[in-house]
Amino acid sequence: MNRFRTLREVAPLLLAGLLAGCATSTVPTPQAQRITEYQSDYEQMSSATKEGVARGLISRWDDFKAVYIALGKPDVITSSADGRVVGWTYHSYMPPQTEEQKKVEREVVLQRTNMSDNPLMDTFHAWKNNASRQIAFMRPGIPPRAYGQSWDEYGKYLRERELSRMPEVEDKIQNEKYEQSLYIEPVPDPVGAKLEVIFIEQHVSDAIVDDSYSAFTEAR
Amino acid sequence: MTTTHTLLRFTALLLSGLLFSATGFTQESSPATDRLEKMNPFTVSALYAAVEIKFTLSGKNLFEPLADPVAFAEISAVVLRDPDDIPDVAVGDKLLRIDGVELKGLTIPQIAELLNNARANDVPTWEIGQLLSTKTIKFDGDWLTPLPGLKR
Repeated sequence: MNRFRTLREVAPLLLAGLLAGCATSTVPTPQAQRITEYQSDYEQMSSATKEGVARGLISRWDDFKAVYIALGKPDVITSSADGRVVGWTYHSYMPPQTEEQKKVEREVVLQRTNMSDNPLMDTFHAWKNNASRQIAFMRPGIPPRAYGQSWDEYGKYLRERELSRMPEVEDKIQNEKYEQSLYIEPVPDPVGAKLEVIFIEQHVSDAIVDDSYSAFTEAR
Repeated sequence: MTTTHTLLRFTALLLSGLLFSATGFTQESSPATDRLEKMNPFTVSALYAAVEIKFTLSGKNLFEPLADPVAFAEISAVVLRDPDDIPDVAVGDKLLRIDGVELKGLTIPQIAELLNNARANDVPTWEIGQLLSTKTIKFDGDWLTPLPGLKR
């Protein structure tokens, strides 16, 4: 009995601890992992360099270690015969995204997959509108919800077709919406660019994107 | 007065004629082929093409390029010194061995020492890797960017 009481007292604490642990456990960025690897070198960098490399950015005059922390190990390393000019080439460089860019991309992807950000809320909205996420599979005659269509609108269609004397008309309209939603602009797959960071005397002199233009052009 | 003036004009014409004829003689007597005969045999290496070599490193010593073993060496530029002497090397060829010693795995200073020793003994032998084959040549051209410690 005492053991059960103890368990009852401890269980909420354990649960809270578990939830707190889940909430705070975030995957460290590659930059954060490399900062840990070269902590002492990172500490010696200027505050501007620290801030940049932690976000995956490089700038002129950065040294090898700063670029390594920001971008990781290059795919190809070349050197002039005297070792003075060194090139680090990344075959598929992906520029770091801002939080706003990530949000926009996530929304577009969710629209394409016809899922909301929160499956629980998605199910709730379907239930609230007396529909089901699998209604199109359960009742083959009913067109599925269009991509990007809200459950409120889809629920309204379902109610109207039940009341309508000619549900075929409602079905045709909904089917057209569904068909049209299939042809939304596809999200372009992220394609990395070739990036060559050129060091002179062990410091960044330039960074060439796709063998054609300097990554530092705008900063000049 | 008139006689003196005529004499001066004649002298000036004579001098200018002599000058032009001397120049013409000099030009005719120095054909391009004479250049080789007058060359010092010890400067014969000047006939070799100059090359630019780019090293691709293995990445084992990422922050110290001169201590990083070489994965391969590639000819990235060739400058002709004599239009009649086309070298047996071309841009894109791989330099595999010097005097039979493989470059892969050596550091750049070690390759400099190897080339220096090879030059001291004789004209170095280069094993060149091309797209589908390899060949061995005698080559002692200048390096546009010299190896550490070497002058050319």
